[in-house]
Amino acid sequence: MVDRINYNTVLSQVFSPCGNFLAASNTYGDIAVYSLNNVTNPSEVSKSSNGIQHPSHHIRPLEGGNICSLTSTPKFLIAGGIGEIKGQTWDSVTGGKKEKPRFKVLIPAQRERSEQTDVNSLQYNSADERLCAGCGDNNIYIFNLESGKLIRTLSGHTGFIHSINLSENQLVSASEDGTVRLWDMRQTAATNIIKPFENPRLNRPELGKWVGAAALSDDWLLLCGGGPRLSVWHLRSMEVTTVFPMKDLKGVHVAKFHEDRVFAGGAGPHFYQFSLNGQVYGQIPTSASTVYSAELQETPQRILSIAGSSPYIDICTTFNYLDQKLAFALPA
Amino acid sequence: MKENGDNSEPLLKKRRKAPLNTTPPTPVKFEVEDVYQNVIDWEEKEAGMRNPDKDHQTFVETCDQFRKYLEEIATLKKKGTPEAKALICEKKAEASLLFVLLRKLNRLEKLRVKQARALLFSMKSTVDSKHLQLQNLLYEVLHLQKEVTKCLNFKSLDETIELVPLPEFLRDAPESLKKAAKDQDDPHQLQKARLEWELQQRRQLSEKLKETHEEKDKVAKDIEKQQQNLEELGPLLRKILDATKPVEACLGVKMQETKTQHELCYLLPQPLFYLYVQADAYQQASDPNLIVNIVGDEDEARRLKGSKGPTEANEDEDSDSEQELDNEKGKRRKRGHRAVDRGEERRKRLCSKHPLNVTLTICLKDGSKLELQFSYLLNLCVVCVKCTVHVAQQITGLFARELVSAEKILCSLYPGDLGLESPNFANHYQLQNVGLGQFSELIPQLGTPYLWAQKIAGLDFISHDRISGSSSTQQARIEVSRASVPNTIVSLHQRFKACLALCKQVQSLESRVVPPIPSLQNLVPNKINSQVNELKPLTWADYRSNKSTQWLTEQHQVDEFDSFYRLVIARGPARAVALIALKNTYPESPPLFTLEIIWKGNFTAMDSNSVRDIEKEINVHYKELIVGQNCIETLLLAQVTRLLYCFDVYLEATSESDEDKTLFPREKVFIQSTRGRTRALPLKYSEFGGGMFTQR
Repeated sequence: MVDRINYNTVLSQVFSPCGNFLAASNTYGDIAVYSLNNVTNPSEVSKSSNGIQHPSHHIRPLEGGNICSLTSTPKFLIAGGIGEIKGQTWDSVTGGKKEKPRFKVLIPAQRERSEQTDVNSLQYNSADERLCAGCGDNNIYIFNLESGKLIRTLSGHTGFIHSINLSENQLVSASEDGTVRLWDMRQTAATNIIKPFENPRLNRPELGKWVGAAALSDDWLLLCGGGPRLSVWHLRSMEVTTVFPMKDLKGVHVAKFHEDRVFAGGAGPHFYQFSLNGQVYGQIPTSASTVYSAELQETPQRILSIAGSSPYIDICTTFNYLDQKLAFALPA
Repeated sequence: MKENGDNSEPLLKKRRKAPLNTTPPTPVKFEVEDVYQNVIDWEEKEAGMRNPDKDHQTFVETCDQFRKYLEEIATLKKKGTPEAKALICEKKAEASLLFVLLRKLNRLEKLRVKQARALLFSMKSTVDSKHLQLQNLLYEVLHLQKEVTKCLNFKSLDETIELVPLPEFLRDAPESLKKAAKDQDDPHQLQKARLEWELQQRRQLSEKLKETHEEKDKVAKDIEKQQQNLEELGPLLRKILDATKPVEACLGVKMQETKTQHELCYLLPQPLFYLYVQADAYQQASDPNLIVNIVGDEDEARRLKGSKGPTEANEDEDSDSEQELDNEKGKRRKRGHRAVDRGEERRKRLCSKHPLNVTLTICLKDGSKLELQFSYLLNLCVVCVKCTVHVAQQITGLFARELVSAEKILCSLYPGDLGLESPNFANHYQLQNVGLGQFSELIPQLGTPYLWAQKIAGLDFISHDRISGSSSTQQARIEVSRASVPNTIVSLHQRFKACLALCKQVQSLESRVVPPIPSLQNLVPNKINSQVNELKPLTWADYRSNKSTQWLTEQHQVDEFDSFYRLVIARGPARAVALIALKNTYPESPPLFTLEIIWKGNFTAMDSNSVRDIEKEINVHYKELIVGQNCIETLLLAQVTRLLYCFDVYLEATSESDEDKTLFPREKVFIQSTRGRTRALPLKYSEFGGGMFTQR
């Protein structure tokens, strides 16, 4: 009998505020919690078992399965599921204690939709304690975490939102409808719309027009990719500055700026690290056939964690090559 | 040299005779021979009569005289006077006359020599004949001596005859014989008498023997007659028994059959006895569909039971002598041939089975039967199973048939129990000693030594081994048998059922038919466009070499003892290939599908999330398809059905261009073709709203 863990898909990961823990969520509604001290300094016991480490425990903050997104505030781990967002204190998460979620935010139901709404992407803005959620009902919701009230709804996409990214007051969203929209958080309408599939250098009709990931940098650059190729746009001119031509990156689901580099992954055997002008810095083989989540931190330890459709999570402490694998399942 | 006076007379006579002889020959010519003969005769006589010594004297004198004449002549010649010459003539004549005398003497001498020779010859011949006579006589003597020794050495036949000892003879023999011996006090006569007595006695005894023989024949004939009577009685009794059977059946008692079986079971070896007892008890208590039987050669079993002890002893002796033989192999080549024969015999003996076997027949409701024949190997101390399958409905599928083979059904009944090696570790060495290889080579001949077969026969090799460390003298224990018989029979029953069910399903797929499953009516859409195109068996090597099955083999989800098939489904120009692994633990382990979609490229779970999701629907969420009582009969078909409609959804949901949309018109109802960051397809069917597909 094949256990469902073999078809495990990790959709989201987040580091704890202290940087010593990693939480990863999968489509079955489990959050696996890893202590990074154990990961970087493996004990003798875990070394002996094939070198593959298991999480210290699992938590299930949501009753209905599928945790699509995670994010973190200094106190809470916030999980976005289907139709709801729940917050749990990091203490209870890292301690593995069973505790009721501290708060719960419901996504407003749309009249014309019979289905519940997925919370595909969550971003927390610590400056004004706002939580942004890119959702399956094509809308982006901005909540005030203190009161739990919906402040604003950003609507306009015609397909579900794949991911959102914040930079100060700007927000960028990538959607199934093939567009990338730029928003000013203080307004309800999009300030700009980019359609990568209309650019012949980017379009890959066999993969579709959907955009899986988009990111903003501090200096007016925008990164996006999905069915169309991964590309960097200049926000002032709205022109493509760089096209990343990697052929084995079929469908981009993860795209991030980090310092002066670009990290990207998706359907394909590798996770890539590029310079802004398209040079490949690193090519990390992944155990996931499709990467849905990559998180990195510099302090207290330099760690890049790559996860996706695999029972394993890949850990790179150098950002350049694969160090070890973490199993999602609890030890047998 | 003798006296001259004696010689003068004969010399004179000779002188007279000489002229007589010489003068007359010319006138008497016709009487020549006679005369000559006469002369010869006469001369011979004369020669005989004269003294040779005197003749010798005469000869010497004559020679002297002649020399004297010659000297006178010589002296005269020296004078040379005429008187001398006349004297010389005279003297010449006188000297010449002397020659006549000399001649006569010569002749006489010759005759004498001749006579002497004749005499010598005659004497010699007489000596020879005498000598010959002597030798003849000597030979005769030798021969006679030989004959004498031969006679002395001759042994009479009577000495070899064992006679009645003398005292006994004197005691028992009739007076007439004894008298003859006593009277003459002669050992020869005594011997003769004893021989006579012996002869008499022997005659009497042989007479007696003859009589006894006749009597014996008579008794043997009698016995034969009785035997025949008994044999005639047998069929009669059997007829009576047969006649009672309908009556018994009518009354519902299986008395007779059970009785014979119960009698037989005491002849079983201990492990099979336990198996029989437990299985029989189980049959009576809880499973009327089980048939327990004892089959085999009853007489042979009886014989074996009688002589069980000695065979084991022999075995030990044999192995000792065999070892000796091995040691001396180098020295004695002659025995090599014998050793080969003995080795063969020993091999045969080592592998010998008990003549009685226990058969369990497991019957299914549809009439299919699984017949298991358990036999016990006397010297290897393990239980082997041979299996035959009778399927009620004809199996037409070419590849499906393999699924109900005996090996498939019995293999890994319990995890890891492949039956390839003997559970009795001692067997390895026993086989090695007689030069046989692995036990697995004997399986076609002996049957398969599954672990469960040992357990239900009360043999628990592993735990036994753990306790005592030795398993050569294996004792069956009834507790072991009791503990495992019910479970094992249930497992066998289920396994057989599962194999048959799989077989039927594969057969259906082989003929490209996926029949609608009534119990799943609400769980699958009514209309399915994709169709089964082809089903082919796949070898383990082919299955394993496929890239997309790697993770299954690495996790040991499948192994080489499973059955593998390659299923091709199609809708229009699009194809999907599913590699199916049928586990022998079906239905606990469902069939495992590995999918490859061939449409606008090749996609497997490794590079396409959608394919991975479809696989997940089939391999992980199969439990939704287990509905109703006989889900075992439909699980594989249900999974294939799910594969077919998932393929439909895949094609319909991913078709974006107009061209594709005409090829695969959207007939399935779904709200979102993709959902969430994984862009999941709506693969889950719910009957809600007249049949709708949603993302899971």
